[in-house]
Amino acid sequence: MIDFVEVGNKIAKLRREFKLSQEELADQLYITRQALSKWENGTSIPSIDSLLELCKIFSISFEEMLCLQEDSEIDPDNIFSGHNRSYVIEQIISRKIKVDIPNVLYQMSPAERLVVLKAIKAGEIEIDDEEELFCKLTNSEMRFLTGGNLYEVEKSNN
Amino acid sequence: MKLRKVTINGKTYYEEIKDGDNVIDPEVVDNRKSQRIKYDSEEDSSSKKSSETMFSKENLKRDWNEFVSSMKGLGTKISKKVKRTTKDWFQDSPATEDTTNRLLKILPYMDKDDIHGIAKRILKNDKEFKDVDYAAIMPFMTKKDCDAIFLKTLKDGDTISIKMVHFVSPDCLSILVDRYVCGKCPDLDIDALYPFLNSADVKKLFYYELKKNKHKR
Repeated sequence: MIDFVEVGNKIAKLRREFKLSQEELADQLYITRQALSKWENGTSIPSIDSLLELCKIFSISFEEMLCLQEDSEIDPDNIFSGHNRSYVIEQIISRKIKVDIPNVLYQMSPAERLVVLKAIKAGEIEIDDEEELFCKLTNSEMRFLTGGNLYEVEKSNN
Repeated sequence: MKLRKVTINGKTYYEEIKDGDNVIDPEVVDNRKSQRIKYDSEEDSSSKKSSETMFSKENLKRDWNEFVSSMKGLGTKISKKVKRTTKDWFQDSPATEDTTNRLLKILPYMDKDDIHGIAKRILKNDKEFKDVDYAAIMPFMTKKDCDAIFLKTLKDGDTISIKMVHFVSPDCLSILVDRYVCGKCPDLDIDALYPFLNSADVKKLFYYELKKNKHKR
């Protein structure tokens, strides 16, 4: 998954390096200044053709433009800061970034928590301290994770 | 004047104790609705007899049987209501509650077969699930069902929610990209899909687009 907050930051950074205003760059791309502004703050996503045009204007590869070769740095106290939320969740469940899940769960929305819990349930993520996780879950999340079989969970702790 | 406290049906009364009263306990409690117990020695024998009749074995047995049969009737009503509620999921829910929220209340308690049944109904375009937020219910579904619903959303041209993509298998997305770069899915909205691809698929896609643009010139 592509982190479009990072891509937007990159577009803004390159635009300033090339000393272009938003209007000037938008004119080159045949889009409105507002559309470019949305790309730069990560609220909307450029089309593939627009991205390839940007690569030509800034003379960089699409890998660099999309930050494919860069490692993401996540602040454990604010895991979503500077990144697209879905991107961070995807990185967590695919184990590309390691976070202490019980201690960052509070930063996630209920839907994001379910995504992470589903990955834990499917064995895609391992938790060091299950008890620490369980005490951070709501009753329905606990039921979702354990299927109502707390006995099985206790067995695995032994 | 001496008074004796009598409690009937939770209400307290006071009766004058007269000499010669045949009272064992100073306080009498009776929870029967229409009864008032009298311990007045001047009471005539007919009222004494009526209280004896009231508490006779036959009357007590009859009252017990009535109570048991009323409980049975109530049990049948409750079990019917529960069956109806689980079978017709939305019948008893308030009309103002949307389908997704109603589903989310019961999904944690449903077994795998029932959840698979819901997925099948969605894939068959069941009207009841027309407005469901698929991303909200996907956590409860198998990967196979999630992939099928995702592909259906693409096919129908509906908006792909970014939240959906977490539940779709990477293989499903890769297969789509492979089909697209081979020219098999020309109508696929690849601009909507590419943000969700992994690095390898993004590179494959972009190389394909670069090649396509070269040929255009």
